[in-house]
Amino acid sequence: MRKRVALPSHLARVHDAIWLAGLALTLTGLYLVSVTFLEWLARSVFQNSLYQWLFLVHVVLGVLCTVPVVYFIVRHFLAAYRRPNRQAVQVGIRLAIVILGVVLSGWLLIRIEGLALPSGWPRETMYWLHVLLPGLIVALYVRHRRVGIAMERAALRRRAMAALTMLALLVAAQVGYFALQDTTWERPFGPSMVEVPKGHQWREQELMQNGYCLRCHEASHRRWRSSAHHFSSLNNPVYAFSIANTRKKLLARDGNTHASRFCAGCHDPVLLLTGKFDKSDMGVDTAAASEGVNCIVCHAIREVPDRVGNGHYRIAPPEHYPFALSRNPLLSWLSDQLVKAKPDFHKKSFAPAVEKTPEFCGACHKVHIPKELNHYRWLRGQNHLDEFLLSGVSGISVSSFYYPEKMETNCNGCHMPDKPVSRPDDAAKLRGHGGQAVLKDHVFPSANTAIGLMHPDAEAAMEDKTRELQKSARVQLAGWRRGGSVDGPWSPMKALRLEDLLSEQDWLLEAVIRTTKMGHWLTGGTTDSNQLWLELTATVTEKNGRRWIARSGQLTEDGELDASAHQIKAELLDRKGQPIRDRNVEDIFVPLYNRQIPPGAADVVHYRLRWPEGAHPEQVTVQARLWYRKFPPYLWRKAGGTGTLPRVLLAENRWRIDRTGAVEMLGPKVPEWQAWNDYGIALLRQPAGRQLRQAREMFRNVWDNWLQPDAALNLARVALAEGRSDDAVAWINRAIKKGTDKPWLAEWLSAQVLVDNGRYREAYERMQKVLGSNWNQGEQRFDFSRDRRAQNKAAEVALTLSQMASGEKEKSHWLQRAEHHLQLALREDRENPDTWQNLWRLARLQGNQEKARNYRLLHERYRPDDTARGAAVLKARSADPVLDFLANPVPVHPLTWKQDDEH
Amino acid sequence: MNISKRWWLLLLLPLGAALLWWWPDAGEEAEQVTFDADAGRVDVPDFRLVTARDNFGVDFVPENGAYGEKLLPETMGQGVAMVDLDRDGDLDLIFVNGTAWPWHEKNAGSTRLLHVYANDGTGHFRPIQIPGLGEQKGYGQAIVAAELNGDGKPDVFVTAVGRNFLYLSSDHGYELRDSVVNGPEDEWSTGALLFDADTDGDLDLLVASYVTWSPELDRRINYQLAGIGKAYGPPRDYPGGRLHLYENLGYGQFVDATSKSGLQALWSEGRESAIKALALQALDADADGDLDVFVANDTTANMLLENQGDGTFRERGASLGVAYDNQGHSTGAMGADTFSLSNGEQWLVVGNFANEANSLYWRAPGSDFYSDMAAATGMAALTRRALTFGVLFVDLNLDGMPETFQVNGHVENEIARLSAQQTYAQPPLLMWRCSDCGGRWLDTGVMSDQRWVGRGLAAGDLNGDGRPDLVLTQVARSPVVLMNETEAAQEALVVRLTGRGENSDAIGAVVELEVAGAPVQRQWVLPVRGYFSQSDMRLYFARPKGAAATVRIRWPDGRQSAASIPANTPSASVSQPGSEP
Repeated sequence: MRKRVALPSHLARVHDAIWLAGLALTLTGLYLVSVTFLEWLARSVFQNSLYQWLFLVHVVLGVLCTVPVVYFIVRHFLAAYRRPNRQAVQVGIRLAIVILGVVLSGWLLIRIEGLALPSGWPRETMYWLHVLLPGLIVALYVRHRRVGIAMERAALRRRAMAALTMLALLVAAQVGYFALQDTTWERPFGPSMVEVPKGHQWREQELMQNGYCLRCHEASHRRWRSSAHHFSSLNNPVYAFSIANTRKKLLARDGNTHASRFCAGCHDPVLLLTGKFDKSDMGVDTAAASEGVNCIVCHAIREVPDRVGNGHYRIAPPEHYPFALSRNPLLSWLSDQLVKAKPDFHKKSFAPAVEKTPEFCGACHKVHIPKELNHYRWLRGQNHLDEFLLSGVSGISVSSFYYPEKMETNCNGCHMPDKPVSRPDDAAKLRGHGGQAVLKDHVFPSANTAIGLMHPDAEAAMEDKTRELQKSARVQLAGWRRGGSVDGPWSPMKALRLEDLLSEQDWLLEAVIRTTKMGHWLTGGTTDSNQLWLELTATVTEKNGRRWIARSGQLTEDGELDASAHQIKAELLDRKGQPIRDRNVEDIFVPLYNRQIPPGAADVVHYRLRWPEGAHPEQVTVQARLWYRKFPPYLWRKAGGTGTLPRVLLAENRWRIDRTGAVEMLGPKVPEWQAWNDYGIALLRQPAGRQLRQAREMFRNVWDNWLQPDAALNLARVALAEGRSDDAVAWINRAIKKGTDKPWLAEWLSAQVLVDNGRYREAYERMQKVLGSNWNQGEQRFDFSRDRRAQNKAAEVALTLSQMASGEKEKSHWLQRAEHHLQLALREDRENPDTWQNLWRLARLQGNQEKARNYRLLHERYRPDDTARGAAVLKARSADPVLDFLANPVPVHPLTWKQDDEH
Repeated sequence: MNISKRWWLLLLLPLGAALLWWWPDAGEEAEQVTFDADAGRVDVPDFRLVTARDNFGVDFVPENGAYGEKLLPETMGQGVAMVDLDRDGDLDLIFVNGTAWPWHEKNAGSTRLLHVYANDGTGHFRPIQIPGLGEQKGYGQAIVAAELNGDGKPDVFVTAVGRNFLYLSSDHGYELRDSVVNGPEDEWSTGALLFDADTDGDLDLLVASYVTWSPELDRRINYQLAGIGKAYGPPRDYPGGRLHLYENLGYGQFVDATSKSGLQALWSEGRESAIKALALQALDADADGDLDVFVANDTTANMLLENQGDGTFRERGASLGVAYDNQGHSTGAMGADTFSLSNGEQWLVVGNFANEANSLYWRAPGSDFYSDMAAATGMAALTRRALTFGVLFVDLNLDGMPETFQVNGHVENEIARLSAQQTYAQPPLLMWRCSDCGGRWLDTGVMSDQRWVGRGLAAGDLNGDGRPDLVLTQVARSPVVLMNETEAAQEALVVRLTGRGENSDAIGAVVELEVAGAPVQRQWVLPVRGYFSQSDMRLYFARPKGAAATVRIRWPDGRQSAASIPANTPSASVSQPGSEP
């Protein structure tokens, strides 16, 4: 019988090839397993594009090896199974089974869209088989060769060399990868603060990849198309109008338009990064001009280095999976399969942890106007970030009036809520919410209700925006005051009979606006061009019919708002006293007034009403409606916008009384104590303490009727403002006795009283307690150590204690404490003048003149300009009687009169 | 049985751990404040300030022209000066008057700029008219008086809305001089200060203006008090004013040295003026021996004009720590005063707007900057309610340490309708510094039942008992004379200096009083203090009964001398060696 050769020469070559492939699979497999192990250990994602390439190599090689391996096993088995060395045969058979097991488990682990082993134990089992069996292969192979024909030394050497070469290549790839990742950032687009990898020349293709995202995130993309982020650039008529005007002025002033890059970092990042923005036409006719803040722009932001805003983010081309951007359908499909098989790296690459922080949004939603733009000085602009961080909504502010039952940790809770979708995309599948497929809403529900006019599909999304907007505030008719004066005797609406109302000619009617589901000021943002106003109408029903008798906040025939209406806004002036009307940000100089309302606070609007002569109404109705519109129509038209800007009814309150004594109130259902507490808050917040007396009366009313600890704390605030320490203490103690749910506030107010009375040590102890203790209750999570106002106050007390210290050691202790507080304050906001003032004092006390000089300059840089109002306000007020009226700290609106009948 | 126990343990342990893990957060609780205003309070000495039904003869009621238009100057009040005008050895009073606005019918009446009351030596006054002095009609503000023309009689300068008034003494009384110090017609001058700015031996004149204002400008704006009615416009909304330095060429001949002094840089070269000055207070802020000037600005940062020793100035308010309160915010600063201790410690008090506490800037011995210690010393709590204009450090009980006396009054006469704690007329406040309780300021309660619309304030011994008395002015109401009948802790020693050369009032001299066994007291001859007013030139020291004393004087020209003052001498005149008797 002819002896069969177990490994004929052609099979030996296959064997050699399998050996090489096996080595590569082993090394890549070890790499992949190591990364997975480290990720498990550190609970973090370490995958990167190299990992994805090696994963692809591993899978492809594994797949390609299948046929040769099976072929080899079959042929080798047929050739050798009758050989006399039975031990070798038996080990070989076991080895073949294990190899086939590895191959099979590898195949089963491959995820192909619509065809994948279910997650859970089946997949886990396959994974562990695939990871552990190769070890058995090695053991069995060694045994097989030991009992069979030993491997020649030369072959062993060759294979060892091959293994070492592969390992070296792997190490080199890893080192090279790390070297490439070591990014040095630069800021080449000043005054925009955007940072990019040094020397990187951006191409449009890197940034305009919506099509790539769309492949898996169709639903999110659809929502984004109706979002303000999509319409942030030249595809937004008002922005295009505004930036064109700005650039025209800059060109005339500076000879170039560089200062306008300030806008582009957040509005036109694609144009800016690709250099188009600096061209004379800004690339207005290119597709890039309509990109806005697209998928890649947001999702390629790697870091937000600080909290100064103005587009201070670091953006780098995102790391892709192999063949992600390939136009070859097969490769592109392959890439998608990789993403689906290994999504962690995709998430890490496109949704880094920074996206879940408020600072991420703050990079653009916090603004200062740089000197390069206004040729004047640093000016604070819109600042949603700090408004949020210094509010009760974030659980950071020590001294809010109200706190929600559960704090928001970032902006996404409101602006990227879970949106149920009927056609879920891949992202939606990852989140379940009561069985309903949801995704993070990329329409970013917010205040730009003009988007509906910019995009045919956007109108549908407007419903969601409107719904969210309607949660932002409520309006409450707060009561009547006799004599038409803010200090007249007050009656709540429901306590007044019609006869009472008619018994006096002059009345003051007051409406309270309270922010509800807001994490920043109302309106916040572009407050100079937002229109948010209160409409008030008084109607009487007489024998001969119904007519309105007095009103405010109406629209004119051409849709413009009555200029004297109460608007929740900041009226901004330029240096010449002209109001900023065209979003001409470069001209902003000083606010004439600011009637925005912080989260969980309130404002009051006063209306003076005089009964018409001979009025004998059967019924009187007063209606207050809070309206919102994104732009004034004149601006929209000037900018070339078409269509009628929608206005949204945010809140409404109606009161009706008739001669039978029937009273009807239609409005928000608010606990009565809270309604009057809100009223008190609104009065307390009036500028220059102009209504402290009325605030005190109102809080007293809440206390006397409901014994609410909140009212006691608010009475303590009034007493503090009025310099009545004894009263403040008495009210604080009453609040504590009644078990206030804001014990930190009681402590904080106590500290203020103690400071005012020179009892600094006790005050400091209380401040420390507030800043350093755990005040969590239920689902409420607080972190007052981040309240920079509080940290500054503590620092101020520590600095004074250092000056009162009896020895050097004690002085040094207090200086250290002050420094500690100031570092915490600085970490939160390095543009806060109070912090620099305290740092100046610290440096002075430490005898460091140079630092003191520097800190003084920074304090001067960030503090408001004392002279600005003097330069502009008189001009504005004397030029426009309506502005003059509205600029009063507490304007009392005379209602427009209708004397003739109109049925 | 044992096994069963183990099972229980095994069950309980994870349960316990789970309980700990899920246990609701306990949270902290607030502690009640034990705040007793009297806690630790020592006995505050008795102070006694006495008013008289006839106001000691002072019956002057100033005119402020307030007939409904609410033009800003109407609410700022006027000053008073305590000067021995008739050279009879006692202090006479010169009150500054306003006037009805030229377009108003009341202007047809006769008003005069200055009203002089002569002292009979016992603190009773009668109105007199001195030929040529203050006969004009004018909207006066502040007053300073010192010897300028070398005839031994005080000359008088009055700031005004419009042109200022310089009266130089003559053989027949006074003559109104047409001088550069009259300033521009369209300026509203407020604080004024006579001091030797360029250390050349004579007194130069620094004049501040409040804001750029005109009746037309004011009328264009309808400032409203919460709908109740017209309100006075806030200075914040007006463009800033100016500072003018007038160099004395000798004997009251002035030239404008504003530009030369460097002050013009504060508003030139495109800079908006941040000067909204009311009081000017001289002090040696940098301890270099010459006089610097603190400018109390209303709603803008205060300024510290550091004298370079040659008549030029550098603004260093922020870097020396007197520009802002401790939070770094500017305040509504009105009046100011200063005192220093022999160890180099210096205090500067500033009266601020309602709901803003006083600023109490403190420079520690050996330090080169100030910190606001109002809160740390308890002054903040006492002064937060008040809208303070005139404020003085004055040693009423002659214990060697000054008290703080301040007069208050709101600018809006209907403010009480909006704030429970604010009234137009407000009580004055006398605070005593308690050395045994860490230097805390305590309310003496004196005159707390009185309500005045306080503005100007001056101190000096009016009745010859050696104790400083007080006079305050009001808006459109009669000034108030407050005789000090506080029991003196020690003996009074009133020191009058006569300087060499033209600065015969020795303004800017610093005097230290040494008495065996007692702390050294230090005082400066700086009569322009408080708000729009001038106090007595003389210095009021306290010394143990029957003790001899030595005064060491550093004269304005830097020379030093000393003089012994025998025991039981209530007053002493010290002339600079080399000066004419």
